Amino acid sequence: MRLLVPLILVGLLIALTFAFERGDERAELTLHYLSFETLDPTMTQASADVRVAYALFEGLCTFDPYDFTVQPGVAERWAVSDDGLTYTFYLRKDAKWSDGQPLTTRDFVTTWRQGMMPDFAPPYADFLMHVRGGKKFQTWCLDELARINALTKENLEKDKGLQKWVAAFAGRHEIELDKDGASYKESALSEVRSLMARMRVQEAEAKFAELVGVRAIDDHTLEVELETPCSYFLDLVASWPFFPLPEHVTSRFTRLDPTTHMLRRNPLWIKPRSIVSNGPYRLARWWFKREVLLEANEHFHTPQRVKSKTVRMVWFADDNTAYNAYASGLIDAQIGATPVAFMDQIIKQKRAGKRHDVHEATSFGTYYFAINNRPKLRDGSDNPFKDVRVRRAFTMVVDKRDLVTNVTRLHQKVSGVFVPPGSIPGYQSPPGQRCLSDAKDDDERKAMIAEARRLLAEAGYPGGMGLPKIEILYNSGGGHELVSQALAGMWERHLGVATTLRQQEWKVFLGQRNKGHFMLARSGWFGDYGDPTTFVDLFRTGHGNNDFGHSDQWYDNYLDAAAREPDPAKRMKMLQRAEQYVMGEKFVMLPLYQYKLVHLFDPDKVTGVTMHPRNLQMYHYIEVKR
Amino acid sequence: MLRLIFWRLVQLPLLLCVIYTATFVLVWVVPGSPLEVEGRKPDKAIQEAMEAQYKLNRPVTLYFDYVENITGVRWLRTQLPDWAPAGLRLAESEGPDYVFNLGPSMAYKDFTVNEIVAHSLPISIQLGAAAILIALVVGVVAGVLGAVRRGGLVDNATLGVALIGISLPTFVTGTVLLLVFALQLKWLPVGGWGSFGQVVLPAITLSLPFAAYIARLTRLGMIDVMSSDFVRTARAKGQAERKVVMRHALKVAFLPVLSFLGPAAAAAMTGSFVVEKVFNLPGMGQHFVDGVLNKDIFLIMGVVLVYATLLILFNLAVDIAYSFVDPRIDLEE
Repeated sequence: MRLLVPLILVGLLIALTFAFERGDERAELTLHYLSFETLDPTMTQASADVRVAYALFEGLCTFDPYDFTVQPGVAERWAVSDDGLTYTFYLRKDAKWSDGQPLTTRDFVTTWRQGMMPDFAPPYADFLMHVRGGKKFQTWCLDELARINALTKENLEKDKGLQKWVAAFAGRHEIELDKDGASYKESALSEVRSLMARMRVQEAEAKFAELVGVRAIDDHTLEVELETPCSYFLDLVASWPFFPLPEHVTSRFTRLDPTTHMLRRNPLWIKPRSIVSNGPYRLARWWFKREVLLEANEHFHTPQRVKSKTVRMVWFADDNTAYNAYASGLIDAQIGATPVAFMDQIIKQKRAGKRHDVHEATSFGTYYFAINNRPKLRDGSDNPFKDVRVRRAFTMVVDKRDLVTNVTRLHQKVSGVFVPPGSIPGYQSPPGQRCLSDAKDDDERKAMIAEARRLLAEAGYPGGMGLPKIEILYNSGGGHELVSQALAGMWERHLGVATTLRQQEWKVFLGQRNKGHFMLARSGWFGDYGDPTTFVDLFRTGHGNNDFGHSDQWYDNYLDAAAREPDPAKRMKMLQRAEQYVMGEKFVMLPLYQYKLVHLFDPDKVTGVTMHPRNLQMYHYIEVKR
Repeated sequence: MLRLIFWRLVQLPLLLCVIYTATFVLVWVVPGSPLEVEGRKPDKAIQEAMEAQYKLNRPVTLYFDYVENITGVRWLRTQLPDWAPAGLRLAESEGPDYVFNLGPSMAYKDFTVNEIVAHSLPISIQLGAAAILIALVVGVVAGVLGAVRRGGLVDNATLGVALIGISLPTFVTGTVLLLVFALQLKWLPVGGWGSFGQVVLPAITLSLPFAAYIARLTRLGMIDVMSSDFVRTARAKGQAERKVVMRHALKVAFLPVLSFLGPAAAAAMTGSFVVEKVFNLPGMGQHFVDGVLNKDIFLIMGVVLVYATLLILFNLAVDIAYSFVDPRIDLEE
């Protein structure tokens, strides 16, 4: 009996803990999410995070999610100078944060300044670098930081000039710089460093005003000067890297990190208790990996346009459990159901006319295999893919239609170019690469295979002889293994080359691909803004995402020339030429298909989901009829 | 007794230190960097600044800094009186966010590891406690019944079910339970967390292997004890069989179960990756796996240390409980 007492006690305790947790009434819109990396709009990268960024915040301009025209946001209007270099934004006089505080140009200036500083290193910092002097300011910040961190005992002992400088600096600021014999005391040096770090932050404000072309004329007028004319600048201003943060809140959470001397923002600011936002919603609840609750922001400039007053996002571990939840009515819509186990079944049912809740759309991204263009491989041996004929032969004998119907079975739109066709107004895609599935009949197919074999022979590898083993690198999960196997099969069958498959776990894979340690590697790229450069810039020499190792002086110069071209139509033509050059003439990589989006919702009940390739779902446009 | 507790508590930091060192080394030698991202990559200078921020370029410094943070020493240094040596004392602004600061998460940028543990550990503890409770009740009852009617129908059935319970992985039993009770019969919700109904299926799933093991331990212990002298004496005194079994035999036969309970409770209460996945629970088990996949070094070290601490403390609790259940055991020796 004595044993039973603790058991009963524990049981009671467990039951009690649940008595305190009561379910809420259903929100007006219930959706799912798999993971949020961050809700800080300036640090956002993943598409799920971007949607929340647009729900919570708004930039000077915003988008119409259905046609992607730029609309007024915090700014009610703007003016562009004739040379296309100066933009003047006129903010709404009544613009407010969700706590009722006025939203002014100050918030924008502070957020952009901090965004350009290496301390926060937002992933889209280069968006901000379109502004005149941004790069210079960033370099200044980095140099100052390096100067502070170079102030170590070892450096001081070696450098007489530095010793003098420190002595003078310490004297000026009344820091006692007593020495232990020949070496400086660490505590005194650390005091000097912290003072320098504080001064760096203060000076940054003045330096920003001096170097960067952002000027707050008054609380409601903001002038922005660009480095060079940028025809899609408003598109950038409407996107999340340009969103404002509430300075009156973030300043309370920002402080200097004592070891790195960089500014650090405590993530506590983004928790419901402290966060303040200016978009259609405010953050009411955020339970880690459980749920996010958004409630309409009463201070939003047009509250009547917010159709669903509460949005609840429930966490699911993966798309399959989310699909179960959708099927059982727990969530109103499954937005962007990325290939779940039963997706080919679902699409089959839809095509047979049995389901009306399946909506297919192409997205702003391309699935491709990167080809290593570098002359040497990692081990120092010759890279056969440095020869354009080899690259061309490999891209030619791929049957892309076969891949999407029999391997992925999702019937994606096959692609021979990089920029998803039809996604950017005014841009006409070039013909790009041809592959086996473009052949009209069997004869043409055979001719293409023969042509590919001839190219390979010309390059010195007749029938694949003399080629090293071709390695295909891909990351585990996501069905990439099947695609890689199918590609290997095609190359072995049509070209007679031997291949090996190499599967790596995600982070390891990314590291290898970034460093160019591969021959062929599975990849995907989604555009960030509505201009072809968001794709074709990747092939520039030294671009951070140029995994291909592609380097071509002519190409770089040509893109620079296109950037300077004032006539938009002519510029688009030039970009088309550039895309044809890398895709259809140099065969830098092998595009396979445009990513597909599948949204699941009952069209009679749910309205407002956009089908635009850029797939920006704005929650306040979505409405559920009950 | 007090001496035992004292010594165990002295051992605790030493053990944790060994575990921490091993984890740290493993995290370090595994290929891949937490700062490796898909998509846009920052400039090299900024990448280096970020590495410096997390001290990824200086593992030795990171190793000791982290110890200072998790043990609360760093916090203590901000609390020192004015007369303490200047090198030791830290300004309030240089202090950590928490007394025991487990560091930032690199995959979930808005949360510290402290917050992640605070969000997920209570869920795992609730679920684990429920599961252990079920396992204890079911296991002990089945074990006793089996031992009393040895070779009978109940015994064979228990043994069979126990065998299945031990050998079937939870992702099978969990999925079957989900299919039958949630998707077909619709008695219980599909998954998630927050209501009592949502605990039932995952708790049962999680309890099965433990229940099976406990049943076998109890049965073996009971068979052993039932043939011992003091049970014969009790019977000879004319005590009712029920009393003999419950009061005398079970008390002794329960000891191996008790020693199993310590690690079992620690394992159950720190979450199960599989059960959390199947039933969509925001518990702590997933962080063991996801943390490694994301190379989220602070999260990995944080959850490993929390788990290790719980394991050690539960084992201590079991040892203390021993002396209450069995007065023959003197912990002082």
